[in-house]
Parts: sequence; structure tokens; C-alpha cells
Amino acid sequence: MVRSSLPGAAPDRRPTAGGFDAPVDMRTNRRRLLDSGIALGATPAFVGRLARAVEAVPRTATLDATEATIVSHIGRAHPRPGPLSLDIAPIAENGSSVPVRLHVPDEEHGSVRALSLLLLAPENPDPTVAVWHFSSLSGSASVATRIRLARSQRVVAVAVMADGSWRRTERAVHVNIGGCGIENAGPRDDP
Amino acid sequence: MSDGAALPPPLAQPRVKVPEQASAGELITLKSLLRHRMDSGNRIDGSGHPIPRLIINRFIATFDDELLFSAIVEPSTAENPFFEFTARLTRSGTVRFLWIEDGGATVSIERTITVT
Repeated sequence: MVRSSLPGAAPDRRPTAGGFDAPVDMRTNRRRLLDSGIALGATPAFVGRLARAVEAVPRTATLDATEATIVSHIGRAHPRPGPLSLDIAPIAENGSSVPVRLHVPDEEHGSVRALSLLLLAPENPDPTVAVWHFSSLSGSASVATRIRLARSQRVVAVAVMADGSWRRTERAVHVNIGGCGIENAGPRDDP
Repeated sequence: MSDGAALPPPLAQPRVKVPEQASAGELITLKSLLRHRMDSGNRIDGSGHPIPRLIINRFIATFDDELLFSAIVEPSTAENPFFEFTARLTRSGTVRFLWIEDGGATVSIERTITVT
């Protein structure tokens, strides 16, 4: 834990209500990290980035499988709100090929660019559909493809932005005939 | 399917849709499709044997050797992988589409775009 390894732990640290007062705790972490980093001669901007990175790490190990998959791809646990569209029909006759379109709309001039998009089908045997990377030649952060859905589920899209933040959106899809060959493989045990 | 034991077909000629001409700075749409079974490794053939995984795992589009768009493709992408994406170009050049299969086999196709 960062908290115990930092030098000069303040004795007058604000008490937390049974350890559940996460926002206060996070601020304390950040403040102390800023103080200790600046004392060591690091620039405030660098330490600020470091502090934000620490805040991005979940405080408790309560990630569900989808969040864990997202973290494994992009290294961050908590999204920041922002526009991200995920177009997929609410009902899919056949889960073996379902059209989907992802798009991060251009905002006002000078806004943050999207670097990558990630699509997950959490109820599939292999939850990751794909990760797409854009470039300065892309012109827009937009991709369309066709995916497999083994069963009805909420499909999750994630956009990684150039400033290091990320966005998440979900769509429920009802699947009449599952893809992925699950119907041939017999029923899968649900937890 | 009773032909599950048949060898997978070699990578076939891909299909792409690219405008031949574009204006500088115009947002253009590029489409690509490759015939491929995308065997996920989860399927079982007619005689009860698992069909081993064999998918396209990378897709890369370059413009005059500069990276334009790329994808890490996983088994939940449907068979015959299709990708539609955009480009905003300021000069004429060649777009190259490259598909990479598990095991390293590749197939590629090029299209020239004249930018005016």
C-alpha cells in the first residue's frame, strides 16, 4: 500500500469512518504523495500525474470480471464520464454475427482525442471481442464490425482517451440463437 | 457439420472497399472483409472432437507505411472478420491492409487513393 510506505505519515490524519470514507482517504493519499514528492525535488506536475495514477488504482479488490478484463487491457479501473456511442440492435436473431458500431464523437475544438476502443462481451467464453487503435490519420475514432454473442448479455464498450482517461458504455442485447458454437458444446454451468 | 476434420482453407483473397479519389482533409470510410472461419477453439465437430482455435488475431492498415488503424482481434469477433473505419488524408498514397492468422500466416491487399 502506498499509504504505509510514504515518508512522514501525518499523525493528525483525518479519521475515516471505519475505513469506509474513501474520498477523504484518497485526498489524504494524494495530498501526502504531493507533499512527499515535492519535498524530494520532483516537479509538481509530475507528482500530480503520479497522484492521479494512484487514485486510479481501486482501493479495494472488488473488481468484477468485466472490470478486471478492462484493467488487464488498459490498466485503469474507474471511468470518467464522456460521450461514447455503442450502436447494436437490442435483439439479435442469430448471435453468430451481430453488427456493432462504436464511435467517440468529436467535441468542441481542441478536445481530447480517442486513442483506442475496446469491446467486451462479458458472457462469452472469450469476453474480449477486439481492441482497435486509431492514429492521427484516422480522422475519427469510429469502427464497425460484427461480433459473436453466446447468449443474451450487456455488451461493454470502452474508449481510451489521449489524456489517459477512459469512458465506458453498455448496451443490453437479447440473443435468440447463441453464437460461438455454444449450442453444440452443450450447456455451460452458470455460476 | 460433419466436415469438421477437414483442413482449414488457406487465407483467401480479401475484399476491401476504398474510394479511388478523395479531397484533402475529407473524412473517408474504408471497409475490409476476409473470408475466414475464425475457429474460436470452443466448438466441437460432428464426431465430438474439439476444433482447435484458428483465428485472425491482428488486422493492420497502413498508409504509405505509416500506421493508420490496427486491431487486436479476439475469438468473439464473428467469422469473416469485417472492419469499417475512417481516414482523413492530405496527400495521395497507398493503403495496405494486412491480416495475420494464428501461426503467423498473412494476407494483404493494397489500394491507391488519389487525393486532390
